[in-house]
Amino acid sequence: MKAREWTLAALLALLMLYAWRADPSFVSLRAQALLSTHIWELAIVAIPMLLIVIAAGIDLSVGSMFALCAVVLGLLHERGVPIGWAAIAAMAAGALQGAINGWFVARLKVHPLLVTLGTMAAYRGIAEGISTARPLSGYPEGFLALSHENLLGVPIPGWVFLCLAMFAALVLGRTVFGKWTIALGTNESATRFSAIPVARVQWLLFAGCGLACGIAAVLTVARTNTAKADMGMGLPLEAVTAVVLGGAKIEGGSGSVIGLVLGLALIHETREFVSWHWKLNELNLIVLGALLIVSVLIQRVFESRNRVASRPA
Amino acid sequence: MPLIEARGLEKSFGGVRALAGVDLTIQAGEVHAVCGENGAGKSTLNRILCGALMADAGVVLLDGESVAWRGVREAEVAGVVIVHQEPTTFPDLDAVDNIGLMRETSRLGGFWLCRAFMLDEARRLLAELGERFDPTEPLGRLSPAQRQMVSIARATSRECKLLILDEPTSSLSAPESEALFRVVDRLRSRGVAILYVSHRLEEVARLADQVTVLRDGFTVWSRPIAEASREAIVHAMVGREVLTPEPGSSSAGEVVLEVRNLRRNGAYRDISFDVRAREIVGLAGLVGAGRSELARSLFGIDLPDSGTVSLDHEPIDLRHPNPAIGLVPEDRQHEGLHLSLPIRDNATMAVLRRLSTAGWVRSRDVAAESAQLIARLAVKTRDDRNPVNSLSGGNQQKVLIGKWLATQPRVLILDEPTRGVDVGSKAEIHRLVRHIADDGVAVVLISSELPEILALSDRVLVMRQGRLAGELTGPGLSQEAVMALALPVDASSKEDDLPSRRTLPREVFVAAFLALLLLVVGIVNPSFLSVANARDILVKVAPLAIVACGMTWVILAREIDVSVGSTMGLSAAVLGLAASTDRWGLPPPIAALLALGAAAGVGLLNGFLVAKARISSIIVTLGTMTLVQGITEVAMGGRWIENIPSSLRTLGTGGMLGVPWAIVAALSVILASAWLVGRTAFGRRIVAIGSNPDAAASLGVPCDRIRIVIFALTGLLAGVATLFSATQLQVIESGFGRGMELMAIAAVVVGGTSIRGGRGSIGGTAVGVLLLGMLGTALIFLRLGPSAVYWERAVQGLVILAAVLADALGRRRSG
Repeated sequence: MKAREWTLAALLALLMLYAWRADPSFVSLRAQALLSTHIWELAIVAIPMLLIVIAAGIDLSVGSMFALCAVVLGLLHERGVPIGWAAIAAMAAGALQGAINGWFVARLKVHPLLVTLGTMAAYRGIAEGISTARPLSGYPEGFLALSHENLLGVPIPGWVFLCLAMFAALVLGRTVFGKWTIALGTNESATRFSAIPVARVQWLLFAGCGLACGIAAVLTVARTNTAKADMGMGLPLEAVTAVVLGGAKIEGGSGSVIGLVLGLALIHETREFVSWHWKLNELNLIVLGALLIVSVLIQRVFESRNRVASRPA
Repeated sequence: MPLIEARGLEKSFGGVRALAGVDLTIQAGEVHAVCGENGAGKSTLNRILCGALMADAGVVLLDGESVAWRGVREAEVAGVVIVHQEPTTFPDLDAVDNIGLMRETSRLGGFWLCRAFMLDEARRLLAELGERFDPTEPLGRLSPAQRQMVSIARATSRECKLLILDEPTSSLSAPESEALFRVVDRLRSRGVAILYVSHRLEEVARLADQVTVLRDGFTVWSRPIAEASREAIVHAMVGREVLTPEPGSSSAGEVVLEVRNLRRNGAYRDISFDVRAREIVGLAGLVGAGRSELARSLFGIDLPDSGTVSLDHEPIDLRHPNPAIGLVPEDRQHEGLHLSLPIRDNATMAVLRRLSTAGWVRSRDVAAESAQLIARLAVKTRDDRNPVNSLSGGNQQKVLIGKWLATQPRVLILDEPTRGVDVGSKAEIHRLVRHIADDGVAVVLISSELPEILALSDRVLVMRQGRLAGELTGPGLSQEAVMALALPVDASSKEDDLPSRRTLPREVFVAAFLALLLLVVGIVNPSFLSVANARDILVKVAPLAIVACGMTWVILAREIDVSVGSTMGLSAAVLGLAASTDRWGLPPPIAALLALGAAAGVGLLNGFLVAKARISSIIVTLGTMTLVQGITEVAMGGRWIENIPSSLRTLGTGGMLGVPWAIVAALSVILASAWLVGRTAFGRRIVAIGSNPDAAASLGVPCDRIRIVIFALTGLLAGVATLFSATQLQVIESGFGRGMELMAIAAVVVGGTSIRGGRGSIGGTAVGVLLLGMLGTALIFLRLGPSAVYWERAVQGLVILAAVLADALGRRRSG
């Protein structure tokens, strides 16, 4: 682990220690499992966001893909499509949306910020249009269990996240695709000049991100028993915040899954503790914003010290 | 008395000594060449003399007086100017602004640029250098040589005592270099001293009066050119003799690469040639003759428009790189290597597939492959897990060549393989290239250094203006023969030979689309074009227009601000809390000032974090966006704000001569912004920063201050927008302004401003705002039924995507 990850781990430990002193019930496993229900959607979406940021991209459309997938699920269910098929269709819709983003980025070589700014409006707009902004609810018990059942004390969405995180860590550290992703984020033209199929890498990254949004949407609909076009408004910026807090450089080329998991945990525990202990839900946003700025400031201080020490001639 | 004298200069970087005692004496009217291998301390010396660095020890005397400049600006004022190796120009600014930046002729303290005067001045300076191109053309459309001339024009525009030219010919072709030499001669005769740094010893012999050789941070000797032979200079630089490469001994083999009638519009045409195994084919020509473009096409990066390429008599698909063809690109730092990644990863970058099983990398094989390459190429490194930028230029180049050797290519294209490489490594690379060919590879060598081409090539193809001008072998092969083929036959025919397209600015397309939309909706429902409806639409888009103007400056400066929506929310909360009769009940003017102050405060915070803490603006504003939103929610305590005094609400509902205040305010902001960007020194500096941030900083543009000011102004404008929009409402909610940031960015982008900074206009933004803002109303007036209103956002998204698509396709067409 790098300095950044140790810092996050230490901060997290300090927070939990303080929480345990102030309010032992917060640290109990049951409370943690209960509280964790809110974090999994964000966590699942943050993983592909990490990979995209490492490849020097960004995806602002994740919240909109999430909403459109949920609405697709809700509408299909409303039309009487079996819930299993509806869920598969929702995830496929996610992959398709991501693939469209990827097509713009990879084939047309448009800056991902622009592409996903456009598709962010378009996907949510389509979600609003096809659902006329109605909430779609009333799902079968078996489906709702997807987000309410625990396995070994961890909710099913938590297992989904763990599997995805391990998969991402392996891809990043051990596969050709992962090396290509890092190379792409470090220097795109040098990557093209290394005969690496840049377009395919970008295309897969964005399509994968769409798929993850679909998975998150299905789990969320199962949790809340509702699908609505205004879901996940804050998702893109929260996911980017978690990724950056986890130590990934927004310019691309670096970042780790461990850092992301720690960053997510820190965001989550801070938010939950603030509202658990002080009953102040409004402070959530302040905490999130301050965490992001302060953590990056600390990183800058470390970096500038290192730079002075190892400046090349 | 010498013009400038340096004595005992020392400089260390974190324990590494770059200068260990350098002495240098330059007389007025003298061309003083400084030679040395990479790492000898030349660039450190330059940077000290031009004010970019302070020496740790030693003195610099100018006209006998000790000087210690604290920046490039101070040195420039004193008459010492540097022209860097890569021209530090601003591709989005024209020659007039490039020459005049930071020394603008203006009235009202920079708030009114005297363009006409600056234009005349630029024409005069360029004419003195023998250039006659249009100085109002953005520099990005000029050739590298013309850009270099603009840099020199800039350097000589003020009274200049010492001009430092750092490798000035590295991107110039032979006749362009010759033009530069004439300029140097003319400056010398005017009494200007010139410090000339070059690896090309022919140039030193041609130009210099005095030569100083540096090695390992010391001055080896300084002599008049008459006493400094080429051999003596080289000997002093490397401290050993340099071997000249032996030309190929082995005979060429089978034809490997066949190129037939290859053509890419605007780059090259009618290209046919063969390359055999064990053969080095030199590709000579002027810069811009199409050699690098041809190399990119053969490698599979730029698809040719017609023609075929065969490898071992099999036609190949040029849409993708072919594993049997390797390319060492000319720009090692940007195209060749991943500088911050380990040497090992760079060396194996192109062969990862071979070193993996079903997509899983075999780390041990990667290490072995890397070790083998490092040994074969004699790369000097202790640990191949160090980043490749820890190596010297020559060793980096070896890693880059090794990366392609690892692929065991049939064809290897080397584009300027020894650019910026010191003399010692150069000879090693030459030997290496010969060995590669002898091992059976067909080598294509592109170089602008004729001695290099002549020494290495078995055959030389000469390109001229995108065509093959001829082939030279054996006894007919000489520098003179190559130049005779490479020089343009008729300079004026260049235009129609290689057409470069000029596209209409994006504003025009968007405006046309807007007009079409107005027309269509107007035909379906004429009341859409009524004055009352136009007024409603304009009032509705006014706040967006105000915010988008600020966003345009920010994006022009290559930054972004996603916090403006939250800032509007905070500003509205402050306004409401301060003015509402059931909250603080302050007088409306004070409430308005507080609201503006809060907004400007957020902007200032953004600016400080971006400029002083050097955090990228997307992260900073993402943070402040969330932070400010939270503060707003806490301040409002989960309740709406009601009872806003009617005197304040007239800002949103009242007007002047029937024109609502919101429209008046938006128009004023648009006009003021357009004037700020186009007509003030400040605006030109914003564009300069966005166009080339490093160059702007090195010219002494106060980048940090400008960034702080534009973020603060953008915050302030968010406050202004709030004053005219929050006051249209009965109650203020905490969600006010949410989503505005993305609408503003979208409007700026639809209006044609490049997200990469430097290029764009306020006019475009205004058109973009109008288009995005009226879509919703247009949908309603199209009478598509009650659910049409739900599709507004989808249509907005599609318009943004259409703009993005149009841009991408336009870029592709114009290459």
